[in-house]
Amino acid sequence: MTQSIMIQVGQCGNQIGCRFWDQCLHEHAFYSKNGIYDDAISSFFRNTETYSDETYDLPMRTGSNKINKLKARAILVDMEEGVINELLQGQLGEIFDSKQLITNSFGSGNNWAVGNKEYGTMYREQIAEQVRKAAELCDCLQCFFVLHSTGGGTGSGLGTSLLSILQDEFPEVYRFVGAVYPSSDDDVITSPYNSMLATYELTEKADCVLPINNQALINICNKVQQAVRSGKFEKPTEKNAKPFDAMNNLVANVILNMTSSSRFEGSLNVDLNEIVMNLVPFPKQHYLVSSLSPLYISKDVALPPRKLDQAFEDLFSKDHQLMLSDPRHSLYLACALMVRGKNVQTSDLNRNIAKLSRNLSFVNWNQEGWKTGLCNLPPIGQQYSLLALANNTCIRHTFTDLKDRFVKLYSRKAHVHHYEKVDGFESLLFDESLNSLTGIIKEYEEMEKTTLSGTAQSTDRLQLV
Amino acid sequence: MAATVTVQLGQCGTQIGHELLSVLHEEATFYHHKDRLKDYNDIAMKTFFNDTQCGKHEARSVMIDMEPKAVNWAVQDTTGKEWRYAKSQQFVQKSGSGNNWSYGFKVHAPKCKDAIIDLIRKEIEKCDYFGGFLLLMSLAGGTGSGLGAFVGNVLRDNFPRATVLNPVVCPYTSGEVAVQNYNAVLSLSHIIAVSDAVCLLHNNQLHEICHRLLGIKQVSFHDMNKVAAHQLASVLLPIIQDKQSGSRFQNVLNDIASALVCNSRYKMLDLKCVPYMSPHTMAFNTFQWEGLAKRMFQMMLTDHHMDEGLNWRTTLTRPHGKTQRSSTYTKYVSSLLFMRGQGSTSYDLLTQFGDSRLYPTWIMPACRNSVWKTELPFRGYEKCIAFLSNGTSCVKSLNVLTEKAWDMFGSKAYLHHYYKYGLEESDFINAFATVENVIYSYKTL
Repeated sequence: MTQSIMIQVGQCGNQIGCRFWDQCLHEHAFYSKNGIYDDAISSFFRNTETYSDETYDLPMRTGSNKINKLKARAILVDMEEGVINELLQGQLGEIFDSKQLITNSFGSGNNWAVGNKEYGTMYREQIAEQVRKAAELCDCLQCFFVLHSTGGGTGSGLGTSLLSILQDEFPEVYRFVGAVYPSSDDDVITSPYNSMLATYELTEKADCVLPINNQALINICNKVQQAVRSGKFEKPTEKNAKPFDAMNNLVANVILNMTSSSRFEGSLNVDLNEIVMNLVPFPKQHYLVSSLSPLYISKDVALPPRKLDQAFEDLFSKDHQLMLSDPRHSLYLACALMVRGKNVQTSDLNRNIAKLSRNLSFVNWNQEGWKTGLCNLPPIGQQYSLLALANNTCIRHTFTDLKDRFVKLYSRKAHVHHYEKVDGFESLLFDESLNSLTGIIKEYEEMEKTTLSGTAQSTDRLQLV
Repeated sequence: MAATVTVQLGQCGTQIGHELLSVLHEEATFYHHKDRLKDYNDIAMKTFFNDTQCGKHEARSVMIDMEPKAVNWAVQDTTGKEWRYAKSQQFVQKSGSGNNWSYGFKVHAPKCKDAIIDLIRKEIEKCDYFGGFLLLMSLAGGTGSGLGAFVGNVLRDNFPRATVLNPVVCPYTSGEVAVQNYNAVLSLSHIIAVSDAVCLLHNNQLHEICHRLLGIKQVSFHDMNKVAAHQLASVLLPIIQDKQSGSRFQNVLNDIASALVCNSRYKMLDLKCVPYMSPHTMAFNTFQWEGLAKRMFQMMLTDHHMDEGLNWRTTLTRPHGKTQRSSTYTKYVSSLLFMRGQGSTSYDLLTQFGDSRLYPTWIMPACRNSVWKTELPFRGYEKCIAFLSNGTSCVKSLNVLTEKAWDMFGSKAYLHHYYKYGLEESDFINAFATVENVIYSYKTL
């Protein structure tokens, strides 16, 4: 069984991370009633014992030891202390080892250059050491999950500089990134710069990116809230207050569902390395749009259950995507369908894939580009859950939006001096990032054009002499 | 009477192998009390299982997987049963192969080679007379297909005289794994060279059998594995003709291979069985050899995998095809019929199975078709027929696989994942060439 390490950077990253650990603990507590520390739990937690203030790891051995004290395989990074302190003082505080925290008090001022260049160099050694230590405690490390937002300074800048540390020290370990992209009404003026610079790093250094948009999350939360008569989470007091907890829960659910097959049993297991293998046909096109069905925020807050086939249909509607996009009307390069639940079998999967394939366009060389997975255990409170990870050309619309907002600012060179005055930052980086993003947009466009216009040519088969 | 070692590779191989061993054990202990059938039990048991002191039988099997969940499930599933897996005959790693053939073949394989050979040798040492290997794997994944291809090579190098029968599972054509076609072409190119016979099992066909013949509404992989196990067991269980002459088989794998694979260019086997029915409808059906034989012959003629939805208009005198001129028969190199049940020895099978129009001219009439009969029934079916053939049945699926893989290869999609671990463009081209060769050989029969 493999282990994964979660690295949460910046305010957004840490808040999402907090919801993730909460849900994760609940899930494992639910499914491991005997309190045994087994393979499934060890994928995200260590079993520890504390002797005279030092924490020691208890090895799993035969897998029948009882849980003593769980510590999360996590590294928390933030250049402001507020969020992490709140986390530590809450109920979850105990699962984090104080050595796993890397904090500062000055913040990054929403400046990618400060986060990446200044703090990146300052904390490089410290972060590298923490990562090494966490990796040593793993039997078989399979992937790193990095959670951050791209609009700010710390999450965006320091988060991406972290990626190069991971790439250098552990090139074989997969780097999955959950990146929250700013919505168009974002209140941070420099967010287009930060997002553009961050996206450049993500394209070059991440193996797989799950872009998420706050607006999409808000829409989903509202939808669920409307359906639930008695909301168990606090209703927003102001009209525009964002239900962040609920939104972060959604992201946490996506990660839980994605890793469910590597933690629990099923008739068709899907490991994280298989996701990368099947969904990334070309190295730079690794942006996966995620969607969940049925929609649920926690075990008490969810839409009423639907019929399975209807849930499959919903999965591909634009209301269920965690990114503002409409994959249905764009081209699919590949799509992963991960199903959790005891009563969903391969025949249900096949029937629905056949139905869906009729209405979705797949690129001409990957007409059956489906990757399916079945896991026996559903999330708590649900009968079953479906997760779709789609490598779809609709992402180019998001990128084009981002590019437009960036160009609007950059053509006036507005705020650029804040970035240029940081040591190590070169203004060439702006141009390089712009080129990189334009390149990706173009590649997706090309693929769309060739397939949808039907001009794709298939090469002749090998002829035997 | 030779022993067979079952090698279960990857999740699919483990799961199907598990069902197969369950079926074999069940059949071998079923007629425990009837004296004249004791030979049958003995032979079936000794071929696939080992007697241990504590009374439980141990499967002659080696399970190999690069991640532990499926193997652990299989081992656990035997608690409470009368057979089990030998301790430490399982080789598992932790990280899986990520559906990457290249990772399975180039990275895992060399690392695990020695440990795997060790386990296999240990299993062989337990046999009095070792016959061959049953190598179970799927073509779509990373371990079964990649590591499996490597293990095939290893078996051939280290045990050159052993017969290797290789049932492999082809994935759903609607897509199970995005890179399934690459993995399939790469694997096939290797195993065709080293195995004595490769038997293709298709998820599509198994699914349909479960759905339409067995009436299972929500078909699961478990159901499909049971059907695959049923099919394989129907050809691997002993053929006892009568008490005097004992078993027809000295070495089941060898006998099958020598009857079906006379030329190393033609090794692709196909398996069909009649009848299938769900347990509650069995009581209402009576079987006649004539009816079963007729259905099986039509399945042979039209290359259909089940006895429902058959095209009865095709006959020997009126072969199928789009136009009168292009009509062809499904052609065979050779075929084997297994008749299990009461009255089989006295029933003379239709000679049509050996009709010269279905076989190429270079096959001698005597080698075209053989019928093996035993009075003993199989799995509660009063009478049943299994048809194991070497013919053009494989062409359709191989064609589909190769076409899709070639399309993908043309657009260079996913290749960086394979090249990362040492595979090169030339390896792909060679693999394509090998498989195209096989398709061509069968097409020109």
